Amino acid sequence: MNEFDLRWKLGAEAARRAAAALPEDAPFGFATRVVAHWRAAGAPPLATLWQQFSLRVLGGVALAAALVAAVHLAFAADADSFTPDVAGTVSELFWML
Amino acid sequence: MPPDALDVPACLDRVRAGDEAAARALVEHLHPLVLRIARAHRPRRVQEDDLAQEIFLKMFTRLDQYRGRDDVPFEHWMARLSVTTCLDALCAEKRRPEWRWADLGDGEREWLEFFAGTEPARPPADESSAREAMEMLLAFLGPEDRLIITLLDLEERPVAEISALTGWGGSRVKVRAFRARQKLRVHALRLRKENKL
Repeated sequence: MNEFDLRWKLGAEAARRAAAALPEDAPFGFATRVVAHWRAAGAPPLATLWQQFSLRVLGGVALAAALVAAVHLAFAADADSFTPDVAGTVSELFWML
Repeated sequence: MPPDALDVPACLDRVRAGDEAAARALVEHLHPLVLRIARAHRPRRVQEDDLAQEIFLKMFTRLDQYRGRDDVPFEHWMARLSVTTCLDALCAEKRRPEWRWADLGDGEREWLEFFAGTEPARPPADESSAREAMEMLLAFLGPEDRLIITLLDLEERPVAEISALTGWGGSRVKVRAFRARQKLRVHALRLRKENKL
């Protein structure tokens, strides 16, 4: 053990003796205050709930979109007959706008 | 009911059922344990009662995570929760205080002179200043180094217990403690040199 470590150890012993004299009981009203805070914060705020659920919904929607795209691509490869119908629908929508 | 006689598992069941009297009894029972940890590991700008309150609020919100499995006493779970909360508070400290010799009181200067000295000397008599002087030096360290030195040197906890509290391996704790003491020595010498200029 070097000189600093030895002196640090002596300091730690002194600090422990000094700390042992400090009070450790809860101050008057502390437990009541803590429990009141806990009860007040019991229900999560609406914004937090919205954030949690919106993220889950977003994930679900993304998964559904990926599945639909995969199914569409799988069937679209050999379904040329659908092409004129899709093109026709798009052109009709365009003219309606 | 005296705090030491509290039936913790039964009390936890009542707290989970929303019993406020049981919650208050649990806080009073655990207060000495939580305060000791908060007092030892708090950032200097945070009051120990505020940090203790934060730990208890976290305890209530995470109570369902403690199942009492594997015979782990609730006090151990609580000690770990307290240590991690203190570590978070230390990490959240935006800027660590930079102490200068002029900021120190007489008792703290005596202890810093003692730490940085090389000549044979007796430790200063004012033991209450020892903690202050050590905390000033510890404030120069990063949160993890500070936590390890406090647990290992100031609280004299065994390495295995520190590993259990922090989740860090025993070798990591020992190596970090060795390096942290070297840094403390450098800072003590720098402060002393600043005084001699």
